[in-house]
Amino acid sequence: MSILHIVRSNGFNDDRLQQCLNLLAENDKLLLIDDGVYNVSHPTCASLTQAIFAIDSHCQARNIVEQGNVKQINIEEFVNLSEHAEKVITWQ
Amino acid sequence: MSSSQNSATNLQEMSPITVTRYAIINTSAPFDRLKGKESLDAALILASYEMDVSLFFIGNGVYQTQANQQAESIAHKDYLATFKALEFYDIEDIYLCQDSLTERGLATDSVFDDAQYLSAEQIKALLPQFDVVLTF
Repeated sequence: MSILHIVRSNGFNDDRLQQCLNLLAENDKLLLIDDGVYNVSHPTCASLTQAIFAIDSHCQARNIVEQGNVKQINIEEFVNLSEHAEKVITWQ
Repeated sequence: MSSSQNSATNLQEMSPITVTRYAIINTSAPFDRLKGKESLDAALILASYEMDVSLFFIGNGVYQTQANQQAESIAHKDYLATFKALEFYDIEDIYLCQDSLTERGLATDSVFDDAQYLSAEQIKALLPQFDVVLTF
């Protein structure tokens, strides 16, 4: 029972990240894409115990380096992740 | 003829899950682009295809649920009036986030007569029962 939550905007720009985190359950996963990858250094993400992923090319485009609790994945792994999730919620 | 039959069969094999339960999560204030209007359109269209639709209002979405808003005073179409149509489409499960209302200094009140007021934790616990969750 696990939901993949996709956040695609910067948490300093709007409250999509916060809304997602409010409803993020313990076994859920968080995937950051597009400007959402800026959230790897957002204070609210640092304390999460859930698995966090970010698209590698989107990070590279913004010079965002690998962070402790965020795993960078490629598009193929993204597809795998969404296939294995019970459902996907895109916060947009 | 046979090829079209084949493709129809393939399509069925590829989508074994029958999607029936939709959660539509409104997170935007009434005049935040067209998100509220688009969300309502989606809910009514899904319901007209006899899908089971539940509406959630969280974050700034709770502003959509407040009474006596006069969109025409800023030359906008009053799509909120269409909320009255929800019951004719059998959309009866309407959930408002109590935490979001409180944060914004709004009373536990709305244009919906039988809305349910839930905490973020309670909404989180409801989400797994839906097949598809859409955010607007």
